[in-house]
Amino acid sequence: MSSKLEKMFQKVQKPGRYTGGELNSVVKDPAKVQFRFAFCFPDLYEVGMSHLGMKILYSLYNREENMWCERVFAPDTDMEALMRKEGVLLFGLESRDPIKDFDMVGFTLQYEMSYTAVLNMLDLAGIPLHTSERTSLAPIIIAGGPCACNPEPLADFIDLFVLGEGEEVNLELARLYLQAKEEGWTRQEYLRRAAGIEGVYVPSLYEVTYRADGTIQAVTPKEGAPAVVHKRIIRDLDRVFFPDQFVVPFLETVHDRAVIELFRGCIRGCRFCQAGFIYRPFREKRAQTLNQNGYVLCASTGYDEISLSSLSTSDYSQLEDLLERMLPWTEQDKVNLSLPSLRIDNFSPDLMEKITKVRKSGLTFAPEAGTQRMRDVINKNVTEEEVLSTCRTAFEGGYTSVKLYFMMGLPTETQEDLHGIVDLAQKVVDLFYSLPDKPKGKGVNVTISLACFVPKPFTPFEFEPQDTQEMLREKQRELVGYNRSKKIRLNYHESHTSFLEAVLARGDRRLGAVLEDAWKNGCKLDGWTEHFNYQAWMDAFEKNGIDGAFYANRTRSYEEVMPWDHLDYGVSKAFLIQENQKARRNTPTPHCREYCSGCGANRLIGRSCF
Amino acid sequence: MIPMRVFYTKTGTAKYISHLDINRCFQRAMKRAGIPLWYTEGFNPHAYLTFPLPLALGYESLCECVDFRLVEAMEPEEIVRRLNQVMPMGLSVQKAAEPVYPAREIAQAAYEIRLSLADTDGGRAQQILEAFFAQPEIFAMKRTKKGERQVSLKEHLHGLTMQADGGEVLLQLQMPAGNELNLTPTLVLDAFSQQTGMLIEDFSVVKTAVFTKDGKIFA
Repeated sequence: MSSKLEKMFQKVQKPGRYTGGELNSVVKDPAKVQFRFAFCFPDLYEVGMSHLGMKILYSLYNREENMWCERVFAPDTDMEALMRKEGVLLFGLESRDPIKDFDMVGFTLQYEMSYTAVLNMLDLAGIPLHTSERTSLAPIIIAGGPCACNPEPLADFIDLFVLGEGEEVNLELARLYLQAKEEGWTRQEYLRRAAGIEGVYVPSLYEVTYRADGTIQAVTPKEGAPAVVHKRIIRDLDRVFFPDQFVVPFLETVHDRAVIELFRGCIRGCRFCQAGFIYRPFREKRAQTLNQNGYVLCASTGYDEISLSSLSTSDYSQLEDLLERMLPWTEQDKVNLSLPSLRIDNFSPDLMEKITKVRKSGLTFAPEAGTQRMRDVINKNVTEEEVLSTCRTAFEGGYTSVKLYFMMGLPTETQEDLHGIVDLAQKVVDLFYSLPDKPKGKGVNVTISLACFVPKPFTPFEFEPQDTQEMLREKQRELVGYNRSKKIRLNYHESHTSFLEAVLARGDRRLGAVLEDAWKNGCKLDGWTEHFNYQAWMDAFEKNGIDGAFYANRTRSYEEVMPWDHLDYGVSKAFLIQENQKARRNTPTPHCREYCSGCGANRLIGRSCF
Repeated sequence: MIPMRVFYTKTGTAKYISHLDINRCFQRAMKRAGIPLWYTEGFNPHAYLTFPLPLALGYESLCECVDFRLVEAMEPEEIVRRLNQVMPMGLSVQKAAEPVYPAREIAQAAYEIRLSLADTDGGRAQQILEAFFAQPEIFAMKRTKKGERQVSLKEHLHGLTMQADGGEVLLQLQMPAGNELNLTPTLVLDAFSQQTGMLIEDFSVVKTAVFTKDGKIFA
């Protein structure tokens, strides 16, 4: 009657996470393909299915006749328990075949708190956890995504990392693998040759030595591996492959909509923001191309919402043109336009009118810091006047609810900077009541979303300590007490998670053992509050004699060898140091369109960015 | 505005699509197919789809239907053709037509149930099931929004047939469906399991037909 799997589907919550069969999912004949790839997202289906990178690479592989890419997500705890009980190995959604029999298994590393899920998925798949325990050619375990810029904590578990953008290098790796299979190479031979592909980092080909004080002495390449691995980028973004269809989930996912990608990189250079540096140089797609991408996607998926994705939507130079092209068909087909990541300083009434034509949702802006001095330190080039004038535009346009993102624990932060957060929110509230044209009969709601600052590699703040958890919690208490308004709601993040993020983000290979023990202690879906277990992590640190504070709360000198110094993301360390020094002088840096500050990323395209 | 009713089958993996998700799935399919749907007016316009008789998660069906309205005429055959070009696996449109009966006319549904009992062959299972259904009275606990209440099943079960097939038993039966009283095979099987102490190892359900109060096929 029903197979083992079918019986499991009948017992679990949301079986649609595991069944496959969604519209536009690709099923091929296994006998007719030479390369099978498992694209693993180390989180639940609802999160993973929202990720644009997976959609791009899924279509990219499946366009190749001899390759088949399937999707794999972390099972929820109920499904995992059944899988372990029944001895069912982690499988690809399309074929339901165990992924341990695939040629290559790839993980995308979107956030540090998903690392234990990577380990758990390898284990559920029946794949040996450590690189060193794998003997046959297949499967090769690879990983990419933003966290691959410092992949050292995962070096024991992943065979190779893809640095930068994957559209070209993934197929190069697949073709090299086909050659390896045909010519009967060993796994070691494959990895050695893969290290010769630009953008590929094979950690086992590098030896790391440490000083007595625990910092890194040197990272030495072996077997001809390059001393520095440069990330890959797509030079001409306008001509890059973009899928003409997405897999359309049955379940509701976090972002369940069509997406077009306006540009990669960012002109702003906010000093805390890793994405603002590791995706440089800034490259745009043409409005005409994007309009076409969007139209085709909506037609093939039936989505009623399309998101214009980028790091800072209003910095897209052809935004007016694009919206003008899109409005006729989106209005006619009742497709809602969603513009996330709007900046405060160029939000016009005209733009607002366009985005609210179809449907009105809440507005979110990110001043990031409460005082001008603090915003100058982090290079968030936004003034209080701009925040208020943007909110005025929004209120006059009928909005009554605004969400403001801030960070606390930023370098050089004082009590005045902290209070400035609530003060700014209060000014927004006061502004609302001062407006003669305010929406009638309604109150105003200002939500402050307060994140803890996490210093990240490849940012000017990579040298900076994170506030200790005691300091962060004290600051949170202080701010809650300081807020007197019922119109202002203050949400803040759990400091435990921010601390672990800080440890892992700038961690080195010695954290591999901690990660493994945390997983053994039951950590596997750390991004979910209900599954997060801080004590399990602390036990893992203690068992391995490692102090998390060494990674999270320590100031690094400019001379220190960082665990990621042998990886090159385009932006030079000299530039990061220069920006760090400017931060200490409260000096902002103009954005890239205004003036080129020479970060070094344009070497990757061999010309100036603008 | 032209009212329209589409009949479709929901089989295979599609049986794991929940009722809520089916609604969204059809909204998108209609969009892909370019069906000239009527949208609700107002703040958040959306296509107006209604499902006269929701199907439980995990059941297959040969007789699902969805009602909607057109803003301009389209041949029923064209609707069927267009939808089938864009439907996901396991959903297949059989027929489109203007509704004959209002949804409230739905009164009965017929099901085909395959089941196996733990450590019991088909023949023996059939005997146990027959004994269960031969009782003068069968009660079950039905969960509703207002809490649990006891319903008498026996008088509501019609057209019961049974046949052993290897390790399994194939049951066919008809029971009340719709707004007034809605009973499901799961309710019957749960009552069986509890009252006989027999463990149902595996079962599958297919809804095969829907009837009106007058016993006509719902159309």
